[in-house]
Amino acid sequence: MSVSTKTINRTSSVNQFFRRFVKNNGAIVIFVIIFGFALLFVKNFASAQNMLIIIKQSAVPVIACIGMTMVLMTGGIDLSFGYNIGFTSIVAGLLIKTMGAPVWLGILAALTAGAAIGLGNGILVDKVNVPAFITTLGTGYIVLGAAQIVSKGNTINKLPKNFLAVGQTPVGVFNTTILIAIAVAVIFYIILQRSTYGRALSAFGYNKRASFVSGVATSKIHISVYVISGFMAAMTGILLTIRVNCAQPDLGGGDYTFQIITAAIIGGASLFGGKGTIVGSVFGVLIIKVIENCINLAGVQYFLFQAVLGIVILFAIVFESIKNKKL
Amino acid sequence: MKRSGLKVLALVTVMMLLSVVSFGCTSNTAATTAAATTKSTAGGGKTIAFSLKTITNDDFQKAIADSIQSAVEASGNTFELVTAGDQTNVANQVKQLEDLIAKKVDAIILSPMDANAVIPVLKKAKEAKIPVILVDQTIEAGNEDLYVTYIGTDNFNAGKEAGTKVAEWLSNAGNVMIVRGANGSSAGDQRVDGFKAGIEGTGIKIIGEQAGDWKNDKAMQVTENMLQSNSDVQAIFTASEVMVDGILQALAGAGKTDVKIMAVDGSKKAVDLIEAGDLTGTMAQFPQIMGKTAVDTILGVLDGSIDASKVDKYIDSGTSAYSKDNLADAKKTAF
Amino acid sequence: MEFIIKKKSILLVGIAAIALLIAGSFIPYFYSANNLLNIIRQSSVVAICAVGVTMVIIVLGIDLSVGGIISFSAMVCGTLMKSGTNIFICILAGAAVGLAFGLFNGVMVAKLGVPPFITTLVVGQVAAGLALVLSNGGSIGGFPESYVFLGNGSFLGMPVSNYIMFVFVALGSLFMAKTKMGNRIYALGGNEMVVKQEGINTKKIKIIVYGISGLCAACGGILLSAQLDTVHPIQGEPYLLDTNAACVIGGVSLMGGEGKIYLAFVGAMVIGLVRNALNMLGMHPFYQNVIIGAIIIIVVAVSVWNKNKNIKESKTF
Repeated sequence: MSVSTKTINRTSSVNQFFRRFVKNNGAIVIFVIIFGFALLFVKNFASAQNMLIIIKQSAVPVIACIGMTMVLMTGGIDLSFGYNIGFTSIVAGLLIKTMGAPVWLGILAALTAGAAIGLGNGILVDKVNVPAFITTLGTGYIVLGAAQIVSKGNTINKLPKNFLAVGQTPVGVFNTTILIAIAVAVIFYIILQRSTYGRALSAFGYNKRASFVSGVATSKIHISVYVISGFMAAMTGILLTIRVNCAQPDLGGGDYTFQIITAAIIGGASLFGGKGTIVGSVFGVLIIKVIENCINLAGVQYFLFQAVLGIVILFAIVFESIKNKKL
Repeated sequence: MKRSGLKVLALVTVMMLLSVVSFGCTSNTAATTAAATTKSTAGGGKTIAFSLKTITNDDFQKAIADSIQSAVEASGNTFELVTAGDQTNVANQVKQLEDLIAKKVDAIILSPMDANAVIPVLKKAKEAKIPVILVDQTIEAGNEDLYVTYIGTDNFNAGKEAGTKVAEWLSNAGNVMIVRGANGSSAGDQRVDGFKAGIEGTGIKIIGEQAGDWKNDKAMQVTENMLQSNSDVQAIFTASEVMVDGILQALAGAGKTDVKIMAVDGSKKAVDLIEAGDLTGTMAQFPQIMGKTAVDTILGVLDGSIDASKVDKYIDSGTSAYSKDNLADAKKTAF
Repeated sequence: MEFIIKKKSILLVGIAAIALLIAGSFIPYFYSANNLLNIIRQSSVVAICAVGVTMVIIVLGIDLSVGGIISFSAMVCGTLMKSGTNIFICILAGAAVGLAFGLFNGVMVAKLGVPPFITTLVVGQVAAGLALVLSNGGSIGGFPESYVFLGNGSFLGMPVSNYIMFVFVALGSLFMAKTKMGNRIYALGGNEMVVKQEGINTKKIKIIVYGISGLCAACGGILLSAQLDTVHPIQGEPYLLDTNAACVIGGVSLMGGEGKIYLAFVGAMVIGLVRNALNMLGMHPFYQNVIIGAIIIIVVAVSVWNKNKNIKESKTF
């Protein structure tokens, strides 16, 4: 009697662990499935070099996704993200190449600009109470216009080598951009999981009113995530500029914003606030980049790209929902 | 709720209109180079508008706009610039054209974003007796009565010549990748179709073809991925120079230093890249010719010195292959 | 108290009218009948889509597939027309496609519990992608006279487009205000739990709402292509943001439960009016972006501030 109950208990706790893992880490599960699929069926996928390419292509979006996830966790959204990227790209490019300023100054200016835009967003959303969707849509257009005005519509290419070195210096098989992405992920993981700020953020996301009533400085937290998002957009702008060796006012853009949001949500961030993890963000980005990589490798016709990408992501979402319901 | 709804609406309208008025006043008095409506003091007094997709991150379109602007202002007339936006916002261009007709501009120079979408509005322009000249892209055949002339590069031919040149570079054998423009762009499509025609019959094989969307980061990503499929490539053809920076980075990242690149446009930036050895060649377009010819023709039509019906329906603004061999000439004509 | 409020709103409407007159006089040709009718015509696509999206926002959803459905439905309709099929069938087919996508959205949201933002965003991408596939990446045009007439013709001095749009707005408003289903939709948005307890099938209602939104988007797309005499595979892209913005500007609350379709229509007109005014002013396109962004924020900020004031004044605790 006692032997059989022991056996039952053990298997059900393994079962429980498995179910909990899948439920909380849907992104990792989806990634494993898609990765496995690609290994088996896509030619030229399974090479160390290809893996490296995917990691290189994912590094910057991971940084962006983490910023967006923070905002999503508060139940908000940042539609100015993509345009912020273009603006900070031009700020950096103008200062460093056109005006010959030292690299660190250009980077500092760009980061400050991005954070300032985020601050503007945060104040409008928290103090003036304009819904985040509309606020960030409006600031997005303003920032886009500003980027075009400042750059006069021009791009700045062939950037100075010491600027490019910030992102392109090889480190083993990786490069500095990848290291920066890893550092950002680790730092934010610690912030979200281990600090009071992180806990307060989660609480705020789940229940704004309860948070407020229990004395948490909700305004500060609310505004801070938009500042972070703006800062991350600036980092994305700088690193993307380095990656393509061209500062352009239309870098990123509206499409980029939606791609990042999609990645964040596949990664498990909830649009209603509260849920969001760094691990989820990372894998959300990896999933999309792996899919895009496979579509290119398979030589799919250029006009089929979007439909195929959309359908695969749709399957991923359906899978997540069914899983959430059943588990 | 109904009461406050009305209040809300009223306040909303007031704020919006006040904003428009205040910005409208300031923009009219601001005499910056960025302001589109430049009032001139000399004679002429005609308003000539140029409508196109965008001048952001597009040296070529900007060059056309600049050359039209200088020609118009040199003649003592007023220049107005309307761009539809950076997305492929075809409907927006049509809206802007309708608005131009409503404010009774004297002439319209147009680079249509879509060969069919502007036809209804051009019919309205015809009714309003506003002469129209097309530059860079044309409209669907069969509608020649809607414009005075179309001045542009023969994109198909430019692509074909590019194909022939690439075949020459590779001695008629080798692998080529193509990085296209955005989906739905007729100029981009024609160049690629032309390129394929140009390499027909040679031993050149196309081993990869993806859309770069006229964007550096997209072009870089698809090139990186295509190189993974097959890194044995000798040349890359791209539909525009705006994507070259990204392609160069992709090649550098893959350690491929001996890939020849052929682009299209003919900007100063590209000529610099050719001189530096990064870009192998490019098919030049001549936006300065397009702009000047367009303005000269339209002014002639407006003052009666040119009979619109006698003008050739298509004026080829020409193309030329820039490479290291003709750098000196290229520098003179690059925009 | 009510009397004072009444006077206030009349005063505000009066101020708005005067401001309109003053503003318009600065802008050459702004007041020509041609231009005013143009504004309405140019805003009709957004207005038609807004009819459906308003309903979706009321039930606490959002519809980002508007853009993709506009492109794909129009592409289906257009492709059939080019092959010589009867125009009515083509339009019906396009509308059916939109309805199908909308219903799919509804099922995903209501039955599978997928958040509407991501569902409609991705479904929209798929639809947009299918538009490209159907046309092999190119655009199609040159449609029969009668179809182009829908978008460009005039009847009794007013563009046919405007009539079509008014029909949609009127039907939509009546539906929401006067029918049982309309009431239920409002109720659902206001408090889903209560409605469920009354034994009403809330899932079915949601699916229907998304279906209607898809249908409206499809009709908007078909009208757009009639106006342009073209189906461009990515013509729907900009309408995604414009439509949702129009609804919010029109006072449709993102908290759900309230919002009038005719106000969303006004929101669409506001956007169209502003874009038109900026074009008529000849403002440089770079500056136009800045102005449009600022106006969107100011307009919504004012309406939200006003609402908050009302709520504060009506607090009983």
